[in-house]
Amino acid sequence: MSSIIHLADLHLSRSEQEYSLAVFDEVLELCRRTEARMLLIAGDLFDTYPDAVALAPEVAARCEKLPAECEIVAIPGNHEALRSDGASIDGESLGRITWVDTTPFSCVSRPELGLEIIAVPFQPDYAEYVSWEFPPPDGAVRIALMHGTLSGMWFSGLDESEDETAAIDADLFRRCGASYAALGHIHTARTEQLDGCYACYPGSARVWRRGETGARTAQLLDLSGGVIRPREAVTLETAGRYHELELPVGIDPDRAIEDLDPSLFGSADYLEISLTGLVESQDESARLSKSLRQRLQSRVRRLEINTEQLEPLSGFGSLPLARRFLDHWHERRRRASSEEEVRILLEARRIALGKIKQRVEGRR
Amino acid sequence: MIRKINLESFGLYQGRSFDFAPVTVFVGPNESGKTTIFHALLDCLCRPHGTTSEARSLQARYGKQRNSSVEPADWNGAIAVEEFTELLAIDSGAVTLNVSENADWMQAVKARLFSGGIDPSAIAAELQKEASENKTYAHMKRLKELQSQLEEIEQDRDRLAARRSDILRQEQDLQERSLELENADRALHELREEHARVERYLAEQSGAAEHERARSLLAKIETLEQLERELEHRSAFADPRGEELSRLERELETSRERVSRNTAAREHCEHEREGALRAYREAEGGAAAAGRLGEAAKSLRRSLEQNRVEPVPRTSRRPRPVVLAAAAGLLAAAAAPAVLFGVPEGVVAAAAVAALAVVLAVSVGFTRTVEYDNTPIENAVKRARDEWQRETGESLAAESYEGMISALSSIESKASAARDECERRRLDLEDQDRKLREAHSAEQSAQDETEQAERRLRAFLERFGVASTRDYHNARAEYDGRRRRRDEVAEELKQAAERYGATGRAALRAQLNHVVEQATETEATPDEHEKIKRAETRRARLAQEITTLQGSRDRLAAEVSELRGSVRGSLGDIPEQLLALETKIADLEREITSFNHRREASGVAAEIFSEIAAESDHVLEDLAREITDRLGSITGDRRELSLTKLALEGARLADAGGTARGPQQLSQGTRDAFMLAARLALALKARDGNGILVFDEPFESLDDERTEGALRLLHHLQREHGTQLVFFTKDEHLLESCAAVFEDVRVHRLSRVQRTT
Repeated sequence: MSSIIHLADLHLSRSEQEYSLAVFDEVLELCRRTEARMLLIAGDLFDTYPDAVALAPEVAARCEKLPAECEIVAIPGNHEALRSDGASIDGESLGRITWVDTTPFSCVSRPELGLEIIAVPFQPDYAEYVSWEFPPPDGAVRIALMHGTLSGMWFSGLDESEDETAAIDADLFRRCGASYAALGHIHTARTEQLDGCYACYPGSARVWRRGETGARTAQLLDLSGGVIRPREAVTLETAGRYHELELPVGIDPDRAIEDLDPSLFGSADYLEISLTGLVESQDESARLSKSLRQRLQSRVRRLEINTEQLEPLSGFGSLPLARRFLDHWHERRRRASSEEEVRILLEARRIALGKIKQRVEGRR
Repeated sequence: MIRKINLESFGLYQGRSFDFAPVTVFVGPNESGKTTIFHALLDCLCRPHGTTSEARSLQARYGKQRNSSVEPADWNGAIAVEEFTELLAIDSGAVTLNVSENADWMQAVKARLFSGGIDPSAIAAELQKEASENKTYAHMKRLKELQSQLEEIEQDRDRLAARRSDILRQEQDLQERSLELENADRALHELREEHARVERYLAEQSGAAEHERARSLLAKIETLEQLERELEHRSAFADPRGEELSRLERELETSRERVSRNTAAREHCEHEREGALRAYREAEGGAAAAGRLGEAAKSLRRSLEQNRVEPVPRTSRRPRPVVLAAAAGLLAAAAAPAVLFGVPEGVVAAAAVAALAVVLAVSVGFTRTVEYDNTPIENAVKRARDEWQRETGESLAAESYEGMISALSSIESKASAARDECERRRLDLEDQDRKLREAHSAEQSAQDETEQAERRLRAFLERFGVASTRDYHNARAEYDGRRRRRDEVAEELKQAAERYGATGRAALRAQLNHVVEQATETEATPDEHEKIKRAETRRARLAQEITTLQGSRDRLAAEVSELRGSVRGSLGDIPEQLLALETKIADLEREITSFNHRREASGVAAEIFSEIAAESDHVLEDLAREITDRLGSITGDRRELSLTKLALEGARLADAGGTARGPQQLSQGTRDAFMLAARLALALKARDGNGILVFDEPFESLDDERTEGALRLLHHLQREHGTQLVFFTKDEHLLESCAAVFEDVRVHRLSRVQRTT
């Protein structure tokens, strides 16, 4: 049995060089630990073309340390072309990485593993795939390595990927005889079986931008007896997590900040906190933001505090109705047992305080 | 604070004004004009209008031309009538907690009591509406709109996915058919080879090999020429045009779908337009009828106003029997001694008494009264009513002049509203007309497009002399088959020409003819004869099989050609389109979820506000405590009060013996003290104390001690909250008490109005 690792969308960048390379190191360590025979990188290894040029030596040097049995096969994603002025990455500069950038596709054959990779570099449009002539199957396991958006796969909106949809039809896998599609471009992990072919997005390998919740993973695959199947989505610890928190502040806003437990967050985490509710003034809003920053800044990799939903209302603290509403609300919040209930309660709180503010301002 | 009231013309007051201080006292006996000033104050502060009972009462008493105002001017009309009569104006003996449940002042009290000025019930009601699933609300309409959008897009997605599956199935079919064709070609090739072997054997074994070969080759030359003629005749099929044909068919199909959609849209528009036309005609009919009535009403109202008649005053004198009898008695008593005794001194006295009696009879023996005769007005109203009946055939119920004017104005307003409605319906109809025109135009355009697509397809088929797509593909496959056959024969003849050393087809033909002429048959042995016979049978069977297989192969080739034409390029941007639809679906689902979350959250917030609104018990306890404190200041003792709601029937107050009673069961003095305390507490809540309190004989039923307590309480409120106090009293003693308690008191002494006799 051989192990293969499928990775995508690492977005190595100079602006977050230390962090992103640390994640790459962890991936290489995973290759060593699992004695993987192949590391497949399904596009967007680099954030931009200039990032690729600048970081190629670092990447090549790190790959050198990998055991000789482990091969790295990568295709360019849409990001490697960003700010490139038409230039393309020199595969030689990446050392041991087999950089497959021949369009529309290339077949990387590894008979010793009984494996063939149909490597499809990123193309804005795959509509012509029906005319591609794939080599006839010769008994080897086939993997389609691609970067784009697979239609018909419980896709939940373009905000998960980017402007370039690059639609892929699952029929392509059938035509090329792939039993596993190693995909990149969508940053949320998901796997599905379509017509006997596993289609898998491992998700972005690191937290690249806001909204990327959940663990960042690399997909570990088993290749055995002419069959390939996903074994485990391995969490990349150095990638940290993205947390989006709503911190409702009330009559005693400092208390809400004090109650927030910093030990819940890791040093690689990206934390975005939205303060919501009513405060006495804009100054108070700024003070709370500052206080929160002091409390959490050193605990996480990146901290963003959003005070846009914090509405200033002079005299809010002494409004009997606001006080009584918040008393009732806290009681319900204490009893809430599901995330869904909490979400509804937070929304109810926003609506209610908005109504109170509206009336107070109307009266003035 | 009110500084002055000006009575330019108000009842008995003409051109009078009275200054106001923080505490103002109007003191005077009965009929000294206090009530008139009280009413003027009501008129100024509330400016009652329309048909309210206060407005009617003031008009009946002081006429329509009354003129009064207070300074500063912003106090004029600053207080609602209900608030003044139910809360701020307090008169002894009639103090009640008779509140209008929904009056603005009461809402203000509730809001302040329960939630610092904001009414939680109102917010709860608003949020309940936002959370409601009532289909008539705008948000539910929006939700329905989103859901139907989602359904439409899901249907589009399903249609597209089905089309994709069809194309892929056809493509799979094509692959399978292509494989079958390859097998058929292979089998055909094998049969031909075997046939050729048998032919060769027969030619060699028959002894006339050369002769046979030459004859066969001559036949092939004939075949080749025949094939060339046919190919020339069908040269249009030389270029494969299957893809173009498929594209034309797809265009036609798309256009037809568009026609079908646009026809449905146009029918919908027609339906909408019919509805709009009906509505317009109804509104037009209504407006015409209402307009006729409105014109009649306007004319009648103007006539009424121009010919306005006033009530006629009528003065009458009535004897006072008692006084006249007394005067007569006096006269008789004066005359009696002189008549009876003839005393000369008595005559003087009698004359004096008699004179007195005459004076008495003349001066107070008769009363003079002025009455107003409303008959002219009533007659005018009756005439107007009759005229209306004549003009319109309808009746009017109004009895009074004002009622008549009001009823006619109302008919005019209805006519104007009907005109507006008619105009709105007309605009709506125009809008529907426009939409229908656009739908017609879109339908026509789609039909034109379809006709063009049909024409293009027809032109294509005509160019090839075929009637249908299938015919085209069959003909095309046939053409390919002939071409292949021609190439094969040409190749065979080329080899033969080389063998015979002939250059060109004519030379070969001459050579072959020569061979045929020269050839002589050789005799075969019986065995060879038998063998040749079998070979001939085999050859015939093979030829038959080849013909059959060739036929089915050609049919298969036609099918493959047709399939290839329709499949190639058909998938196009379907994956991209599918993705775009999935994105829209995801966006809509998110919007619907968020919509429902917001609705659910509004429901939760509404529940909380309702809970807060329901928690009135302790708030009422606080209010009861406040009233008790104030009552204590008046009565000098402390009594238990319980309030279960903000109304008289919700109050239970302990009497002197400690028994809890409703206010109506208490003594007059205690009840008035309680009502005073309650009014003061509520007035402070309603206006935050920053207002005015008007007292008309406020303490009539209170003893001195309680009066003093009440004044001390008012003094406290006045100092604490700046409440302006106005007293109307005939009680000089109260005036002294006020002067002793309050610092800044302005006193207006009024004397009894002298009436003309």
